[in-house]
Amino acid sequence: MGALIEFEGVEYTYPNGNQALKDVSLKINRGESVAIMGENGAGKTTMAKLMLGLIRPTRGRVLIDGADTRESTTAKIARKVGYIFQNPLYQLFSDTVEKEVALGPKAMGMDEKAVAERVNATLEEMGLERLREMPPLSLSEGERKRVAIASVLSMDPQALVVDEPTLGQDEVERVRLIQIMMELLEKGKSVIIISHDVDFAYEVAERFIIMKKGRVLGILTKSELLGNREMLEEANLVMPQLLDIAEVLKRNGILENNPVRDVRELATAIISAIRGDHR
Amino acid sequence: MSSLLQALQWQQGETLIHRLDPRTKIAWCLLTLAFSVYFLTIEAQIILLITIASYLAAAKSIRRFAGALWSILLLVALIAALNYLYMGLYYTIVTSLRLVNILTAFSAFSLTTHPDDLSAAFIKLRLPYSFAYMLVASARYAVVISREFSNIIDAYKARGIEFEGLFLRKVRKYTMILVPLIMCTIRRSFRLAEAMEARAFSLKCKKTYYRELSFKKTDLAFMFLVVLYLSVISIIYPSLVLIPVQLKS
Repeated sequence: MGALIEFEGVEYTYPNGNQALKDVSLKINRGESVAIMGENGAGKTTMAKLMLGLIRPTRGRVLIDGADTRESTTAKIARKVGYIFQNPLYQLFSDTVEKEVALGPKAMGMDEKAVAERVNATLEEMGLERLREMPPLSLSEGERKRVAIASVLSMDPQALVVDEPTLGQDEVERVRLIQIMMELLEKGKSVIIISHDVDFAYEVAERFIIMKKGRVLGILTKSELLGNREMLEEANLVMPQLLDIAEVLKRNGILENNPVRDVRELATAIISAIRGDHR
Repeated sequence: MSSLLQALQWQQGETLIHRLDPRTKIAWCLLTLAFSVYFLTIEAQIILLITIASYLAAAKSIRRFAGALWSILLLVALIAALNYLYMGLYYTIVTSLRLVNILTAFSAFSLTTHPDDLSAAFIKLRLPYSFAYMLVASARYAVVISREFSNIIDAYKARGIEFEGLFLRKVRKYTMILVPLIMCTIRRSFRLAEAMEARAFSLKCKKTYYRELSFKKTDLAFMFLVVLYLSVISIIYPSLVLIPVQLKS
């Protein structure tokens, strides 16, 4: 499982002089799910834009599949890394959902038959077939988000960068988004989540890049999160609720193994504790 | 586009120019615009340009303005080329300098005048409150639209669409941005209108203001110097005696 995205000593300063990233080095592997977390102004969105080549590092380099982003265009990088904007309105241009999903494959130069196949498969995968003829801007927030994801997925990128996926989403759409992310991971895609929502990130990601004021404070695995509460607090983040509950249960001798991966696992642990299985 | 808009955006500062009453700055701007139209010689236009540059230097805004200089010069060059086809070289130079002066003076005014001060000045000048607010809101909106424009271009690029290539191809690609840009702008303006209504904007009553404007001695001294200076230049370069313009046949 080689690195798909690499940051080597990356720094980025905006034209107004604001230094958004300072000496960032990290790797994101193929098929991996990573969450980039931090407060506003931590440099999360800047990192995402660098991954897509929308901006180029002022120092260091960003490699996508081994190729330097400075030597490529965003349109070419987009075939490997898809980006879902925080506000889906920015990336919905067409008058029907179908045309919207077809826009990317057409821009890639695919023939009509291949475009139609790709569109049909993506619409089915995202549960959008019945909205095929609808104007994207007339849909609900959640549906628009799914159309935005579909419009990128139809280009079949190797990685998907999702900026604040849960923003403005209700609980049903939130759960659906988790399912979509998990399905993408099963297909071997990399998923990079940029979010304040630690609970969502915890359910989807395996690794967590904790950022503050343009620097990477640490890169933690799921099991390392609980032992690094101070780092999260320094980054103005809170511990995922699941881990908080698990910690209380462990402190009271109810749970043995930390961390729990999701609600189902926590429920199973509590049930077995009630039944006395763990003792 | 964004650099041009940056030159029209207020920049915080603690200079004497920033502290002037906005009405004084409006008067300076209008006088400068009027005289740039009035002067018909290259010398007078250059002197006027030096005056505006001095204003920018005093406001420590030269650097910010310099960022937009290329966009302004590009626009001026385009108009100059069209002018040269029909007018003589002398008149083309005067017109170009006039355009530079007008754009620079307007930029200098925008860089040093906070939109809220501008709105307060309009109200003091007896303009209806809603009209004054509309003018200021639209000035602010230009910056928002510029940001939306960049975001939409980024979104297109992220969908694999190239914006490089031949000029005509580029123009055709940029026209694709119009629909989402207009949609975003309309939606945003509706939201703004709703937010204003929610804060009793249209309520008919006597409004009070957080900042009250008043002329200071520095305003009077500044205006005196400006009027004196422009009068002297007008006497040296009496432009009412029109220079015969040679139209190319």
